[in-house]
Amino acid sequence: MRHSLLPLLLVAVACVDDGEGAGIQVHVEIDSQTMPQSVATNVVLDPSYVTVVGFALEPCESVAATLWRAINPLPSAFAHGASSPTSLAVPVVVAIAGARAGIDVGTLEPPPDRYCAMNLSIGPADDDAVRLPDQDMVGRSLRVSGEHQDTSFAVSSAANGHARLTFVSPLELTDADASATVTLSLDTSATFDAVDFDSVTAAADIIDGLAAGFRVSAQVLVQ
Amino acid sequence: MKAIAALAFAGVFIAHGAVWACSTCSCGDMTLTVMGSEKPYAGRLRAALELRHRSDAVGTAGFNEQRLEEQRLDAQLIWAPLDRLLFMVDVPALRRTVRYVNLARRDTTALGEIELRAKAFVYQDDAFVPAHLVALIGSVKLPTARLQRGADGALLPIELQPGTGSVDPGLGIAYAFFADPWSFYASVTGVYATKGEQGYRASRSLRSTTALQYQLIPSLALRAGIDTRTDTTALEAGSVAADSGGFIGLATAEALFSPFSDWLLYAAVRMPVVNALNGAHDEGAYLSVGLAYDFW
Repeated sequence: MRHSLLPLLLVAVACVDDGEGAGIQVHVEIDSQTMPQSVATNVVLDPSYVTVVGFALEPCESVAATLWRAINPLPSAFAHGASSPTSLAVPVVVAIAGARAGIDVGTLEPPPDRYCAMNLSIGPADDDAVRLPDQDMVGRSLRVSGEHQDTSFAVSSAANGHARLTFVSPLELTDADASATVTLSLDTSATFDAVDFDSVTAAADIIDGLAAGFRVSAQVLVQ
Repeated sequence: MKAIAALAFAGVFIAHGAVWACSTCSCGDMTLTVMGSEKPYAGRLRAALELRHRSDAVGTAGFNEQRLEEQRLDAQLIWAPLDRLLFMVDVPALRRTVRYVNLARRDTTALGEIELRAKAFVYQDDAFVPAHLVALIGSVKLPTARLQRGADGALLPIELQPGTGSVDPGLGIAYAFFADPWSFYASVTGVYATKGEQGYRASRSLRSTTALQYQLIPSLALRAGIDTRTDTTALEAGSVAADSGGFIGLATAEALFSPFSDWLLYAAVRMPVVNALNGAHDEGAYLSVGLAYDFW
């Protein structure tokens, strides 16, 4: 009897991690390899940056939800500022030109569902932002400088932007051990085509152009 | 056959007329009392093992919900060095299972945080057979639980930790009334949680217990009442923790059975009846069974 109680006592006193099930995981990364090594031909850029502050998986909508969104007069928005199982509130400074490297953004732990899109929020960087190039970028969502038609320009902004990137096929994540990798890339070849650098809307136009240049690919690793 | 034997065995205990807890006889009162609500007398020494189960769901279902199930084994010791002073120590062992919204499940088993409690009886209407007793309660929860880490060495999230890693003092007042076969117990206790591990500070809490007990026969009593808890919001890394704080009221039902002199078996269920906890937070029923023994 004394011998049978001893293991129970040890279990009670010792701290034991009894193992874990990882659950559904989606790794989010920004891939330098898929970024074009040269940007638009109409500009020559100095090191320039845009800040992505939120990454959110979007479930595929039911027919009812789609209809509701079509008739709902209130705009829908993807909240950012706090992480959740489907969103990462991780400010990441992405190089538009200059040195580029792959970035591990983080891992989402979403509930089982079909996911059709990844939403990116562009916003001001804080001083904890990943790949913050310098303190001057703090508080900025965009900093672009270079030459356009032999004229120097410098544009910066703290404005917000949004990109909705749809997957080629829905990301089916239903099993407890499902995992996937979502890779983001930025194609800036057409970003500056319609930008008037002398216009007061230059920053907003560049942010819109960058938002339109983000690409997404997804790979289910285990299902 | 075994069932019949067991029933007969139990029947012998219930039918036996002189099996009340002997320790209470020395107070001239046969009331069976749960741990913490007993009458004091110098030298009283009482020990108990109590097993509890509870469940908790925090967060929005299908989005960020975490479902916790906890089994807790409390080893408790009460000692009264003086007629009007009780000390109590509670050493818990915990098993926690947390299910996350992404179908992940994590289990931990660990020693919990030890609580020390003192109860000073500041008023009783009679020195030998008091009917009214008023006591002040002081308590402190100590950060004795070892922090849990995952395979990568990183600290596990706070919901999996067997404690908050903080020193949490508490202060309260209790009133007890004995009029055989009835008794009544009420207490209010405030717990001032301090900052613990991972920048986490548990909710500061005001807890009340109100219970009415009826002694059916000397060996069996039934008890019913209301427990309440009013929590401030908890803090995580200095920020308000979502879905924390608020008010909950629980209806309690309890049975106390003394099969032998100085032995007490008790079982209780606490059902949430008013849930005004902040955000998405649902607490399930609390179930507990215990065995107490009076040494002296």
